[in-house]
Amino acid sequence: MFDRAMVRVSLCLPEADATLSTATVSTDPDADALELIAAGDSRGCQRLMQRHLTRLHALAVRMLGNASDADEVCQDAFLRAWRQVPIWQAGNARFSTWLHQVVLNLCRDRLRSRMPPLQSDGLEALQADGDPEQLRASQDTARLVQTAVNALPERQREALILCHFQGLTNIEAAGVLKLNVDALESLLARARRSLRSGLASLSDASSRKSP
Amino acid sequence: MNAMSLSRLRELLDAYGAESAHWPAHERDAALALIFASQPARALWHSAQALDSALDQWLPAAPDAALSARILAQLPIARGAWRSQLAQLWSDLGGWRLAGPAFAASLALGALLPLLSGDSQRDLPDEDLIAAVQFIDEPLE
Repeated sequence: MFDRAMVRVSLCLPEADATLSTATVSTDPDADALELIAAGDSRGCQRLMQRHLTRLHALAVRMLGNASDADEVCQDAFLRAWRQVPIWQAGNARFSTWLHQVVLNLCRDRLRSRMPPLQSDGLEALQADGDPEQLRASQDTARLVQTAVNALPERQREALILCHFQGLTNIEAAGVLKLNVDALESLLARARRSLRSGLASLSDASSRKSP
Repeated sequence: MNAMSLSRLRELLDAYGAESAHWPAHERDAALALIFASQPARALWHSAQALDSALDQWLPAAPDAALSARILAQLPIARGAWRSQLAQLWSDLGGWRLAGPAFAASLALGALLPLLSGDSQRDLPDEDLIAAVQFIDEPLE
C-alpha cells in the first residue's frame, strides 16, 4: 500500500516560487537588511548573517571539505556583500542568490590554488586505489556521500550542491552556474546517476574490506 | 495542467530527486498527479527518495558562534554609522521606555537627598557667614 501521507510530507510545496529569482529587490526577502547596510548600519549585515551564514557555510564546507577554509570564505563573502550593497542593482536576482555565487567563486579559487588539485575523473580512481583503511574510515553513510560527491566532476558537484543541499531553484542554480536550465538538468541527472552507482560501489568495497 | 509522461517523470527525478520543492514549479502538479496515480511512477519516486535520504546524511557542522563576531569586526563602518551604533546602544539600554523613568528617578533622588541627609548640612556655616567672619577677623590697616 502506497503511503500517501509520507509522500505528502516529502512532496510539500515550497514556500517560494522559482519566479521569485527575478523579483525586484522590493520583494527580496533581504530588502530590509540591504536598506540598513546601504545606510552604513552593521545591523543589516547581522540580519544577513542570521539568515544565510549557516547555509553559506555549509555550501563552503561541502565544496572545500573543511570548516576553517569555509570560515575564511564566509568572512570574505560578507565583506564583499557589505561593499556590494551600495551598487546592488535591484531586479536581477535575490541577494541570497548573489551571495551563493560569491561563495561558490571563492571556493573555486581556493580549490584551484590547492596542490594537488582535486581530481575530477570520477569515482573510478577512488574505487580502484581504495585504501582499505580509508574505506574503513568511510563506512558511515555521511563519509561515503562526502567521498562520492567530492569525486564528481566539478560542474556536476556544483550543480548537485546548489540544488540538492542548498535548495536553490533550478532557475537560481542555473543563474549561479551561468547555464540554461536544460544544461543544469543534464548535469544534475549525470551527478545523481554517478552517485547512485558510486555509493553502491563504495559501500560494497567498504563492507568487503571490513574485517 | 498537462499530463506528464513516465519518461519525463524519470528525468525529473533523476535530476532533482524526490523532493517536490526542488522540481520546476511549472511541472510540479503534473508530476504529483502522476505519482499518485501510477504504481511505476511511485516506484521511481521511492528510488529517488532512497538516494535523497543517503545524501541528506551529509550534514556539515554549523559554523562556530565566534564566526559572526569575526565577520562583523572586519566590516569597515561607513561614515555616519556612529549614529546607528548610538541608536543601537540606546535601543540596547531600553530606549526611552527605561531611560525616561531612570532620568526622572535620578532627578527626584537629587532633590530628596539633601532633605533626607539630616540636619548636619544645615549646621554647617554658610559661605557668606564665613566670609563675614573672615572680614571681621582681618586686622585693620
